Amino acid sequence: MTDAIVFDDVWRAFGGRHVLNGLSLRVREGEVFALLGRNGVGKSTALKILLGFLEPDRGSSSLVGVPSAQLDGPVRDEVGYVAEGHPLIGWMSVARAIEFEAGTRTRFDRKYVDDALRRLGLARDARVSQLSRGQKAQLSLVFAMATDPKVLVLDDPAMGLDVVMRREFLEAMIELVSRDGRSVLFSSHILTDVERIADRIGILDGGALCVDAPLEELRERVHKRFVRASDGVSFAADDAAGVLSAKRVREGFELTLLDFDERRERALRARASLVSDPQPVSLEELFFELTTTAAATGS
Amino acid sequence: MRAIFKKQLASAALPCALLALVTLALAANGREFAILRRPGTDGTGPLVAVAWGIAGALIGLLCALGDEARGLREFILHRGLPRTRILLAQSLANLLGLALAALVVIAVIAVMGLAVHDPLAHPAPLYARLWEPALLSTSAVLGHGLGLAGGLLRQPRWRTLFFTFYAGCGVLYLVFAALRGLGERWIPNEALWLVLTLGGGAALHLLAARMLRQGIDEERTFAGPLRPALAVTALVIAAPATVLSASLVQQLALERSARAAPLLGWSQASWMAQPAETREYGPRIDAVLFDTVQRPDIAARNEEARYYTVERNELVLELGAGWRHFVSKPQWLRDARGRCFHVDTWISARHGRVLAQAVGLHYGPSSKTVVQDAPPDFALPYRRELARGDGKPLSQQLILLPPADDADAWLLADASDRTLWRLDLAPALPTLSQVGAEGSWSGIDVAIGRARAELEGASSRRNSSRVVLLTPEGRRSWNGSELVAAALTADEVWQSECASVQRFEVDVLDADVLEPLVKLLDKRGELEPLEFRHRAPLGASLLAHLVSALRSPLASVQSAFDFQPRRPTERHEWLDPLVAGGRRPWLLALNLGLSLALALYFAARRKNGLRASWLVLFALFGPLTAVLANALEPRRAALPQPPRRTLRIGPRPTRATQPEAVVS
Repeated sequence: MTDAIVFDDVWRAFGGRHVLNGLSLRVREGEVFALLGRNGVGKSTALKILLGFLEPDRGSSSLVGVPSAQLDGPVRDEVGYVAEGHPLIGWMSVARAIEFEAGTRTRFDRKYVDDALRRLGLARDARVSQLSRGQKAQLSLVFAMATDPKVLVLDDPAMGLDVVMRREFLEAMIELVSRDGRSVLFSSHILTDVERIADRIGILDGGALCVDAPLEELRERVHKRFVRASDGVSFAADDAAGVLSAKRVREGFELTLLDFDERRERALRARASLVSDPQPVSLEELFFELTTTAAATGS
Repeated sequence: MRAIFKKQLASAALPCALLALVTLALAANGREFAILRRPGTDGTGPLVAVAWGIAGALIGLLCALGDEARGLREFILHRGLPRTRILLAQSLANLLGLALAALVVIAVIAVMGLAVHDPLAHPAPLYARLWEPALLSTSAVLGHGLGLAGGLLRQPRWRTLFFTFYAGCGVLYLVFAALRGLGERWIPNEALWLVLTLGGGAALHLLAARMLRQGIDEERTFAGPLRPALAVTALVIAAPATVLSASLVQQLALERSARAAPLLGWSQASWMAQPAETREYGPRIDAVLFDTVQRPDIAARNEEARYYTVERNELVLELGAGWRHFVSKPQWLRDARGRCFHVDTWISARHGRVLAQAVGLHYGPSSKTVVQDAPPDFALPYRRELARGDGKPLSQQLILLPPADDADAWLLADASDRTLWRLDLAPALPTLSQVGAEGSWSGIDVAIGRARAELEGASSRRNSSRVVLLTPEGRRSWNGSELVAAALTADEVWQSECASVQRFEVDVLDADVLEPLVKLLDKRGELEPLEFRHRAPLGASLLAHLVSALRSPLASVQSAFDFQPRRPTERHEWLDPLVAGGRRPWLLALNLGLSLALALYFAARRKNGLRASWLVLFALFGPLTAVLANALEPRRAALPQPPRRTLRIGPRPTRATQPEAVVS
């Protein structure tokens, strides 16, 4: 299977601040990849570099096999892009916005757009600036899909939408991305949404991915356990030992553990008086544990 | 591409409509721009040139920054069209909007002209002049290119605006310097204007397209092949602006110093220095012998030609492309139908041409008014060229000899072939007829007051209105109908001979623009010689020196070998008058040292992204260029590399590679 999106050791600084420190990731054909991270961690920067709107200091990226720096002209119609905030030309009517899109694309599926507008209940004579955020988001997504792109890049598509709108938007997105072979890279803060649609997640922290794994596999591999430590024993995050995070709670520690096999369990039981059964970890908990510097020490 | 074009045309509609409205309001009501009110002297053309240039720059900036400000930049660029085609469509739409605005303005002016046109009050050629605003509106192309390139610099906004303003000054300076340098004939001027605006505009649009194609990254604008193109553009555009900035500030300082200098002269049997602050209150001084502001005139006292002494009265015309009005005559005329008109006839000249124009208003004259009968074919308004009868054009230098009393005939002396021509204003239609053959005069002389000549010698700038011609028969003056022998009164002396009667002499020992050293001598020996050096005010002196240190090193070195005396109030755009003729070598050394230090400093920063071309710019145009470099060049800080992040949860590891578990 070939890679639709590639980041290869991408570095980028703004002024005196490093934002991306050697970001590497690959999105395979047909894969839905969710890029997660806290505010200002560089998600939008990474997507702009991917689309050739920013230049990396070091490293390279490519989309549908074309280096980002050479992404110009018709090849852009193979990439659907919804920028942060769903920008559209506000003074146009929906009908005129459709004409504008059709006139500036090498291919444009009018039938698909008409069907989608009917389904979404968007009036053609409505002014774009008068649409709700959710409607704008849906219209942006429809336009991004109207060229039948091989890859879809969405920068925080659910930002600013309320629960109902987000749900509608996500359903529309799930339906749209269900077409064969379409790859999606999207950034988001809404982890419940990510859990619904992503095949694979990447968590961006400190300018590079700290997590890059399929979501299902992640659920299998990461667990949480409560331990009561022996006197003087402390627990801290230790990747080599499979401890992703250790948090002090009441009389013991709450450990987030990765790939915890029998050997590691024996070592753990040797240091703790009580070890609870494995508990599943939600994506939100995992995100929190990995993007905050938590450490704990026993007394 | 058509969709982009239509979208941009809709965006440009409002600014273009505003432009047309403002221009029309000014054209209809402005005192200086009233094309309908003051035919032949209106400023509509220049107004259109400046307004369309500025509007073009603003619309270009809006085009480049507006989408970005609304968060639409990436939305617009991410589509199946090459970026350069998107820019082309946007530029064509903007320029079409500006062209339509110009057409609207011209059409409205024409309609207004038709509506209010009174053939007796306005000259017929009004419509013939409408091509001029159309031609001058091509400044929009240059302005638009500039605004677009400035906007696409993708720097922080203030830098963009600073660069656009700075480069705009440079472009304007280059255009006007080129026009001035070329001369003032019709065809080259218009052709050059088109070449500069359309050619320069096209070059700037190409540059903008290149910048857009390369990327829209705000911190990485000048990478790759764009570098040399941008360096050359910056050199061409910004350098004149840099030189101008320095020269303008220095001129202000020098002028302030010069105006603070006292007038040196003679009063009541002694030398006198009249303080600067009292010079406006009238002469307490009998004779001004040296004025710092006017010093070069005195330095030129040994010149043989005396024309400069009569130029003040505008009797010696050095003509160029611009029309110079030199005489007018009001008169009352009655046409064949018995209607009376108050007619203003004025004569204007420019290189090779003399023009008589008249407009008139229909009035009922009072009983005391003397009304002449107009010729049968007389019709108002008219514009008529007065040509020499021998088929040759009049030369660039004409000397006017006014008639005695109120006679209606002037004498024009053509300096190229020394012919004489009578300009007769008496008839309703002025005439030009030859009264002196080729070589009939050899020069001019001026009768000046003897007392003044004793004080100031040939450099006297007063009482010099009686101009006579030097002919083979001797000095001749014009009495309105013929040349007659010119005679002096008892208290007059010919300017050409006044050296023999001059009593005082001014010796400029050091013709420094800031602190001149002067020696006044009394040839009769009644007064001891006076040596005086002006001390410039501290503030003006410091400012002049500071700016001198910031000027172009190349120009400063050239100035050190320039020994021509210069007036402090004269603009020294390129050469630095403070170091002229080898003065103040320490200042020259400071200038060179500062430029070198800056060049070395920026050279040390080259690894952070500064272009080598800027170093050349510093060497050529001085430290002020560093301001521009700082504004244009992003700081690509060489940041320390942070520790590389590791993937904490990657693909599922195989058993063979899984590390031993260690819990501390």
